[in-house]
Amino acid sequence: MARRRRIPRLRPWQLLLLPAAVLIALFYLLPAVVNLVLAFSDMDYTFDYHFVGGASLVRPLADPMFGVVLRNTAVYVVTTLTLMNVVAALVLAILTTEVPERVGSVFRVLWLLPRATPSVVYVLMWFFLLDPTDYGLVNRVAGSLGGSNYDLLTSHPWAVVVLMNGCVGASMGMVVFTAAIKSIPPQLIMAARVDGATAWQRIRHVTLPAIAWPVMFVTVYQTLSLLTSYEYILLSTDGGPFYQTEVLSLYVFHNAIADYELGYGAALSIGLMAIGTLVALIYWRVFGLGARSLPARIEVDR
Amino acid sequence: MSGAALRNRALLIAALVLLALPIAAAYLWLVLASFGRGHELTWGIFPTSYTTDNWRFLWDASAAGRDVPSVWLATRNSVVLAVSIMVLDVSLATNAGYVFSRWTFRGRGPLLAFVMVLHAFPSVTLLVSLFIVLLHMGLLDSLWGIVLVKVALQLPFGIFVMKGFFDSVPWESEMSALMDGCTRLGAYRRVILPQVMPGIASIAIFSFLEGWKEFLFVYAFTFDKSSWTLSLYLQSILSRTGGAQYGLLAAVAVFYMLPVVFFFLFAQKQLSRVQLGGVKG
Amino acid sequence: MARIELRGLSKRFGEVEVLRDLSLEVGDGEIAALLGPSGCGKSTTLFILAGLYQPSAGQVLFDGADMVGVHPRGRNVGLVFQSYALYPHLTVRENIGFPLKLQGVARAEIARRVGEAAALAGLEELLDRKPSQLSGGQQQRVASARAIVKRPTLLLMDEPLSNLDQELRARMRREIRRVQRETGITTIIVTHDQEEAMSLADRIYVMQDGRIQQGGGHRELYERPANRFVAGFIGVPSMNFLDQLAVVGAGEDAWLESRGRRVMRVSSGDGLAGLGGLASAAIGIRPEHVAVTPAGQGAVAARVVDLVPEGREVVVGLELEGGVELRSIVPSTLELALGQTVGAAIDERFVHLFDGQTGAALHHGGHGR
Repeated sequence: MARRRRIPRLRPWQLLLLPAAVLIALFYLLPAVVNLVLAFSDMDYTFDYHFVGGASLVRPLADPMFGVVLRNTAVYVVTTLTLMNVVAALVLAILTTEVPERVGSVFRVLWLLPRATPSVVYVLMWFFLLDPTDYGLVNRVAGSLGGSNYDLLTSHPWAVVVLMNGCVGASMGMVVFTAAIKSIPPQLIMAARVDGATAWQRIRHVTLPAIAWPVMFVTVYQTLSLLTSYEYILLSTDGGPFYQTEVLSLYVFHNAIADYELGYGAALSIGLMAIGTLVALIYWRVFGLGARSLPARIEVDR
Repeated sequence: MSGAALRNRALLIAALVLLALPIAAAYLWLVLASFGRGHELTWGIFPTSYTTDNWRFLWDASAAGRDVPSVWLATRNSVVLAVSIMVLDVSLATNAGYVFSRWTFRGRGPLLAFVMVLHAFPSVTLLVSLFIVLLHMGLLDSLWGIVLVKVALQLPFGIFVMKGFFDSVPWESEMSALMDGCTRLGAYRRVILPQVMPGIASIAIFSFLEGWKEFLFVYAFTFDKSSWTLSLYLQSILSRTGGAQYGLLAAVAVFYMLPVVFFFLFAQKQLSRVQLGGVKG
Repeated sequence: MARIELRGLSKRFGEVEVLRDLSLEVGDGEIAALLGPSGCGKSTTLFILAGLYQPSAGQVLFDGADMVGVHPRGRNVGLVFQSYALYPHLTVRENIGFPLKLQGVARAEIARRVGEAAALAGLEELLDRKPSQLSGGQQQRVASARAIVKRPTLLLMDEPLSNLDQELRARMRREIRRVQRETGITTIIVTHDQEEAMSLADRIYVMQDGRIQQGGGHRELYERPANRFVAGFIGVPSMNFLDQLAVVGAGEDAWLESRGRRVMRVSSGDGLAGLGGLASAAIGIRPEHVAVTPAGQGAVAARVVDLVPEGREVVVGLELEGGVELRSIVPSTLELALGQTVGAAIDERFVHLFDGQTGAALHHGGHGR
């Protein structure tokens, strides 16, 4: 006797959750799995899948570029993170909170502008600033101070890449640190003033301790961001000159998308994915970003 | 205020101005250069003479060069991309955020934790495999593929934000609606949704701008010029001409920036609600 | 209008048992109050009546029909929340008309009935405001109007007045009574405030630990408390309790001792001394039955350790020899000073007796004042 298959009737909440779940499954989880499968192959522009197993993990070691790329990545992440995303962000947060709020907020909004700007436009503005002819603002200023024309994008690519990413990255720390500074109880600041502390002592003993945790937070977050963001580098130096600014995530892009070495690209990005998963877990555990889930207070299901 | 304090404050503001000067100068240059003629600048940013020639690309397709499509095609693509992403992201994230906030079901806790981990995960590392997935689905070289990918990658964040907004709607409000004769879904539509409108506005603006600004996925996943968006249009001129045509580049960039500036100036509050943790860089 | 009955109701949230075998009855057109300390399960009971929570066991009967499993919209119950839960995006008019709109009532009819409900609640002037533009008392009225506009069979109110100040509360109580009388809707009010329960309800159910401890009119609860919890919970200032009792002496010189110290004179024979099982029992004495007398007049010597004036009367804290403490309430005209030595006389006729183990009442004294 043939049994008629019953179509399961979905509850309202299942209907509402389904589209999001399907989309995330197809275009987020599936790619993650595909990446793992791809990493153990030598797929190239022919799109043929050959399983090569552990050989794909050894391949980076035989790649003379790999060591260079790793060193570049370390330089890029550490320099941008410390100089711009934390220190510059901290300076901006402290400066804008030490002046009246009306003035401070204007400067903060201005510093948020690069983040809202499309990457191509942002890079275009840097090209103007750094233009090797007299047209470039930097060379104009340098010229008026008696210097000669520099092609900074070629002569000091690292400085450019760090500043370019940092001017966007600094705004996140700025916002987080500003919020932390503003949440310092005013009595604490008053007490420091009454005790006759100088501005510097006040910052050293009241402000800085209050933002120790936010600094941790921003450091972890931005490490991950810097490891995986390469759009500005792609658009400005494209890793050059002569691979000087080729970082790991850009190297993945060049291999996979530009050269169609899809298997190798996937293998290289496994490391980034592993770090990403680790940081995501740290985020969720240590910083308590795990959302609380209280039971529903209504026991009616229609 | 004492003299020393005043002097300190003046010093602080001077430092801030110094730090902000290059940024302000760059944006000012962008606008001025779009109306500038030639390569001569006074004071480093002011063109010596002005013209609307740079804006000819709006009505004369050849003004931007033969190798790029019409700017209006690129604009249409950008609008389609941004609006589709916005509509999908807002509706899916809102519904899912509501479910996570308001319904108890088996596996809710772990599922929510999983969404949180996805939210922090650097999705851009999936670029390689996304290429393969889109290829096999026949969605490569299509804006729709990019829409679906962008929405999927952005959803965990949207769900997280919307759940927060739903959490802040009192349960009594929903209970009241049930007592007044609503079903759960009726209460969602008539009573709860109107109370999370600020959240929906924030997500809408945020996801629209994310779609409008998108460069990498369009660059990596489309080949045909008919799929180009404004970001690719500008990038193509930039990489072809380098610094030779700053006037044209600036004009295209200003044109491209218009909606960004609009939202940035008029929706700063909604944007700053989600900016934290939302953008990477 | 309906007669409401709960039979053998239990409710668990996971491991926690919030309601245990709870039964109660509210007559058609009556006002009942669920009175108890926070966490006693009274709001849970209310939400089960409303249909928002599902009971783990038991029946919810409206005029004899079991409502368990019936969606809230199918119960025709009005609910007023402590927080009022007005819809912030709707005007007062739209808030009140919302239940009618959902029922598909015609627009003109909605306008008429909203007008009626608004008139009843005194809201005519405020119909076009948003909830955020209203005072607490006004919001309470809107919540009430919204709950009664659909002419519910049952009106539930969860701590309806606890967010209002003292003076407003008294006025709103009168209003609730008036509206209830005019509409005749069976009403159940949840409150932790006995004054509110007493002044509003025909029948009060005292709850603790998920059980009904006693149900009855306010005099019954006050004069014949079923157990020690009710005796202590009802009445301000609360009842004095003394335990580890024994009768010593006999005849004119018979005394009741608590913890080995004399606390009151008793008569032998048919009085307290005649009741058995004193050793394991506790007695309860209302403060108004502890007389404060001049020192050494056949009473127990006591020291005044606390004086709380309450206008016409003053609450006196007394410490007997040996540390036993009693509260008394006396007219303010009696001039007392802290530290003064007085006599404390408990009138044997008014003493309640409770089982030392179960707390159940064994004997009720009279209730003269």
